[in-house]
Amino acid sequence: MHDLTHELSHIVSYGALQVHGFDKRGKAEVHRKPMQSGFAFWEWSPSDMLSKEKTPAFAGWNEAVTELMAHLVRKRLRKIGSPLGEEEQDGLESSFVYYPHLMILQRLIGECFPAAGERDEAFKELYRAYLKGNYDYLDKLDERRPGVREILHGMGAEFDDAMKAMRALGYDDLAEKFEAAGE
Amino acid sequence: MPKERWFDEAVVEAPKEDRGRLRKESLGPLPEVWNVRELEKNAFERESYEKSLAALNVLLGEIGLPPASVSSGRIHIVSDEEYDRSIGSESRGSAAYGHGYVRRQESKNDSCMT
Repeated sequence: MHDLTHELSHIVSYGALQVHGFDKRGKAEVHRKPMQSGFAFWEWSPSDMLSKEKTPAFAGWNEAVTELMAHLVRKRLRKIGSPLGEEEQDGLESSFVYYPHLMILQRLIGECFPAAGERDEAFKELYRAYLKGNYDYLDKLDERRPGVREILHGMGAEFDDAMKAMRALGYDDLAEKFEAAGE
Repeated sequence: MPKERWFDEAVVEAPKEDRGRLRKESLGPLPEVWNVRELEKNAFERESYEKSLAALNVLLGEIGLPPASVSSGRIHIVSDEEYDRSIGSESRGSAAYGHGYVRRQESKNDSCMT
């Protein structure tokens, strides 16, 4: 259930257009829009999506939002009648993947939108941006915390990537906590 | 304006003058690019997919978005051996081109990290 809800969130955020066109000479193929899944996008070609070597832009940020969406889905499973028993459902709701990335997301949005009402709306807007592939949200974060967009652009999905991003964001306390606990 | 959301078919967004020159393979169903030998979903996996999609659509409604349509054929349940062979041993699950791939779990709850 845990993996399924995470991948399902990825699937519904996949709004990429596999558009192939040609340049003005009618020869070289060009990609008019990058392959995109949620906030992640592959900057060079569609085949990069399957490459183990190439990391998409916003990879770690995308995983954080995906896991947050999946978490909300898991919680709603209980409401509609989860196929899991009570204890298993508790476990499902209290476990996470990409946890360091998720902590970055929560702290960052908390910082950028400190008022409670504003923050709730900011999260909703985040989910809508993720599902529609809208990057304006990242610009909004960058307005409130200059430089954030660039840090998130380069943050990969690995543990070390999250640690590096935490340091760049000034979240040393968070990084120290995770580093002490180990991967 | 072309639609921006799509699921089982691609919607082409391109300058009008280029549309007639687009490759036909740019259109049509989403490709299953890993070519996995998937397992037939058991009763629990079918229910998990149905309930997860229903829960997701509850969430989408709460944030003001229309429900998502994801056919069960786009969720692939794969044995560990096949997953490692076709997709790679590093991940627990994967998504590509609008398809999702998850390993068959021995226990119902595959939760791992906290």
